[in-house]
Amino acid sequence: MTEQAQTDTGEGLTAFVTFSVADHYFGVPVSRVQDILTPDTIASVPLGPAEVRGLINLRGRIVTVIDVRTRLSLGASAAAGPRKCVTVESEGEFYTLLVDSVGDVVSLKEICREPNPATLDPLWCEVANGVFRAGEKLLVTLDVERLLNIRGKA
Amino acid sequence: MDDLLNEFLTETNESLGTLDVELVRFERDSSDVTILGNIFRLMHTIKGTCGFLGLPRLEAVAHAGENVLGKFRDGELLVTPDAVTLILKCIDHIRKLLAELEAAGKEPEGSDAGLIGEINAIAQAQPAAPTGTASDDSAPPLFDDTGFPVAAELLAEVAHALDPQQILFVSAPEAPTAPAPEAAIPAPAPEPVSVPAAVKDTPVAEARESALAASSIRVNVDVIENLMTLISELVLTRNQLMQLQRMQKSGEFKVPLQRLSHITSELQDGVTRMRMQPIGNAWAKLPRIVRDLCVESGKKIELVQRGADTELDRQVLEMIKDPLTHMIRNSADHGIESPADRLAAGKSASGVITLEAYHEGGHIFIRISDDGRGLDVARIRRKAIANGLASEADLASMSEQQVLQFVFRAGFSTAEKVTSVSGRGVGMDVVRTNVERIGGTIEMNSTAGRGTVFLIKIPLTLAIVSALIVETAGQRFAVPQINVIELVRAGNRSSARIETIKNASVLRLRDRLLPLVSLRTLLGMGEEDSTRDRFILVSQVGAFTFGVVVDRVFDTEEIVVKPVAPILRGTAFYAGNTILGDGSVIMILDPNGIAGAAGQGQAQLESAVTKSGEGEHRDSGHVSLLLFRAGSKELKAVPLEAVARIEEVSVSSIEHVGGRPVVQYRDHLMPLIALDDGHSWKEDGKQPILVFDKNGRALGIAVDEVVDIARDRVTIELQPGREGLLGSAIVAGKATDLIDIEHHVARNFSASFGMDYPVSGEAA
Amino acid sequence: MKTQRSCLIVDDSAVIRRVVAEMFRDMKFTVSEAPTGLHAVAHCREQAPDLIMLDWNMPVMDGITCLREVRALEMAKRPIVIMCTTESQLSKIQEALAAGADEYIMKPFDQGVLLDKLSQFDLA
Repeated sequence: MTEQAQTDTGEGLTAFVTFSVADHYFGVPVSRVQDILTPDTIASVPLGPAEVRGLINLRGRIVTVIDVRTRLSLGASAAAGPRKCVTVESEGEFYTLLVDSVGDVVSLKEICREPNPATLDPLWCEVANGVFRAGEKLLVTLDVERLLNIRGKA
Repeated sequence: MDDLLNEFLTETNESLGTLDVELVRFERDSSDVTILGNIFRLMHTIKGTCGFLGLPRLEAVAHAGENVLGKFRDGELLVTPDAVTLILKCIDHIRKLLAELEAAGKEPEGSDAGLIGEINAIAQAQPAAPTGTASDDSAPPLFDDTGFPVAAELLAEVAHALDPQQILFVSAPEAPTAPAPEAAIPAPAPEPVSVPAAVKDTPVAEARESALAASSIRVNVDVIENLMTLISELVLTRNQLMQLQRMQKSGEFKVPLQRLSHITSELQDGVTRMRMQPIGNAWAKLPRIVRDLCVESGKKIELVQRGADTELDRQVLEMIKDPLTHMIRNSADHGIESPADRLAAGKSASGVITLEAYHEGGHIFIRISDDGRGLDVARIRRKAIANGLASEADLASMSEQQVLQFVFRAGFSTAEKVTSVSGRGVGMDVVRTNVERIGGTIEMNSTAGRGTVFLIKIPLTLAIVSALIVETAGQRFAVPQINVIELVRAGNRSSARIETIKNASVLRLRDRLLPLVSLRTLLGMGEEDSTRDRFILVSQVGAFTFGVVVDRVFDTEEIVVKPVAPILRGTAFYAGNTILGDGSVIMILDPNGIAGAAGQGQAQLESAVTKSGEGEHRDSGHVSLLLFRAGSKELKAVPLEAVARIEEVSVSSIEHVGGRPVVQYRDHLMPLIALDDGHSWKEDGKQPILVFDKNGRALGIAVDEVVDIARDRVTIELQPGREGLLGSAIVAGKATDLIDIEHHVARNFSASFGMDYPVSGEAA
Repeated sequence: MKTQRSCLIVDDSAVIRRVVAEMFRDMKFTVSEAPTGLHAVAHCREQAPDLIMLDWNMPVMDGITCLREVRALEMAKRPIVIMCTTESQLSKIQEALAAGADEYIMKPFDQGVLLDKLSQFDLA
């Protein structure tokens, strides 16, 4: 479990765990990340929302797998084989975000955070809370709560 | 926070809670010296502890209260609603001071002279007839105390109880009321309100308290939570061990493991029971709230509590306490009309709020109903528009039921004024959220002029249950054992057969036809493969029996039920999820939800409404009907449940006795009848018949063809044109004649079967 | 060498029991507690305390009844009983003394008052 202190690495820096999905580059604050894992079996939940890929057993806890591709309408993954997951906690429940690959932890200056671009897809606007330029890549930082705020099917 | 202070706060708050309940009971029956003694002792103890802990402000307030109670006890003061209200006010004030004490860690600064003055004033203001002694607080000793002091005390109490002044307690109008000596009494003595109608509740906090005090201990909640977590882990580990042991060839682990398993089960039972509390604990404050509301508003309300000893998990109890209180307040505040309005509407002057709790099908149901004015649909419509929740056009296309559901939306508070009775105003949306947070559901129904019903269903999610593990379409699920009454293997070689009639499947099982639900289809995992053997879980939810078709059935396992994550809460058919002994995560099915898919869920709520209503309006639930043609091209229907069998008898075996066709059927002669005069019996081959069977007597109705099985609501549109019909209805979109089985049976046998359709009296 | 004195505190309020227990522990007594008269009598059957602090107003079995029962027991030595109450009526004090109480103390009391009361016996 990482603590708040480690997110703020001093001098207005925030540390993010980065990952990529469909060639897009995202980050969530390190303080929110409990774990990174590659589950081998995911139990599916028939009739569940499309974004919920299923459930896994993480050391005795049942964790909900959220497929980030589906959540951000990025289409299905062409890659075969197990994919990595970033585990977060919210309001006492554990969720793990299914992504294509997980990158490094990067520390970025808060002052470099730019607001969501006007051209950003509205769905993304809902879950993104800013962009950073990291080299030539654009890193979109995600608000975990809003990312998990999925309207289930009635 | 000081540990001692904590203990003091816990103990004293508990006592205050008991005081509330006991005072309301006492007010109803002021001759009950036991209750009074109890009340006095509680206040006395509170005063004592405050003294020991150096809390002078609290001590002073408690002392004032104790003084009045002492005077009640000694017969020096009349028990009037005003006096009781003041004591209740005193209790509330103590509670408030305790809260401030808890927050700040010490007694708050300030003075309570006002309240204490009020209380003392009442203590002086209503003397009973002169007792003959000048001293204000000593009961004259009736006997020499070197004699029999205990007897003296008892006799003194009896004497007081029989004092004619005491018996006048309740007929307040003649009570001698001395004019208020000081201006301390805030309000002029109101018209003596007759003590509010009885609060019927389950037995005695006092008796419970006495019994418990001798045989119980207090355990910190965290300790129990910890135990519970450990037990869950133990259960899972035991499951793992059992799993491993099954795979072993050697049997040396078997016996010790069985012993371990047994012990674990017992431990688990014990701890679960520790956490279970009777729901009555959450209801404890309600009589007082209702009573205060009555006094304030002049309404008459009877609070009926049933099933207060229904047990549920402590944590669940905590979460529903507030929602329940809110709903009762709503009923009392807005639902029940004033006595005058009620009489004008032809109702009794006293309204009834019923609170009922019971276990069923692995869930707890809590039903709150009142016989008040019901919800005002027009007002809800206006409010929905005003709050921007829907447009006129939207509302126009909604049914009344749908409009009523708006009360569950945020910002739809029904509280027009905040009464002094409770603190925050809490909307129904918060109630629903609270209920759903523990994995429950809440439904509401209301009839204008008749009343409103709420039905809360809470799963026993924090429990460890026995579950049957089943598999369909390659995926495993758990089904709570409690709902499964039988397992049937259905296939070509077995005696139980699945019959498919058009799109509906039924299971022919002994004397019954059971509607079937395919788990595979239900969960959208494909179509059934009818060439394979399959298994059917014969399940029962309430009075409804049905079958669930699965591919395979494994063992029963003890599983730890974990509630589904919030994001999955809206998904139908799941009651939770769990981790099996082999580490795999599986979903736990909700039999109620599945029964609902088989068409019966709605019926529960509707029958709940009818129970509270006058009994005239009986809505139908969904009924499973068998549709057929016989003698004409019009569709006919009978309730599926009533049909014992669909047979085909060879025409050659039909005999005639007394001019009527019969066939030999299971050692009896079964009469065959045709429904229409124009019915043409088959000349050869096989004649299809529907067999109705009760108490060994069978009746066969000849049909031309069985068309379908439909699940639908039955609303009789047209009255029967002739005997033998109940009427016509639209079933699955087609006009259908509903056959009156009773009639036909009565004609053929002397005793009737007692079957009937639930029918709707609603105008189309 | 002074032998350790034992005290039994009988009161239905856990808070009061605790406060009084502290006082006695401070004075180097071994302390036991009983929430009701029933518990107190049961305790005394097993083991006679040197001193009993007995509350008057208790549920299940009140102080005076408990007092009578304790006095009726056969005990190795006779415990000293001090009735604790906030009642101030004369008749009640008489009653307690008649039933076998040795002393009477008004709640709330502090250690000073307690020591005073105890000094007349061979306990302090």
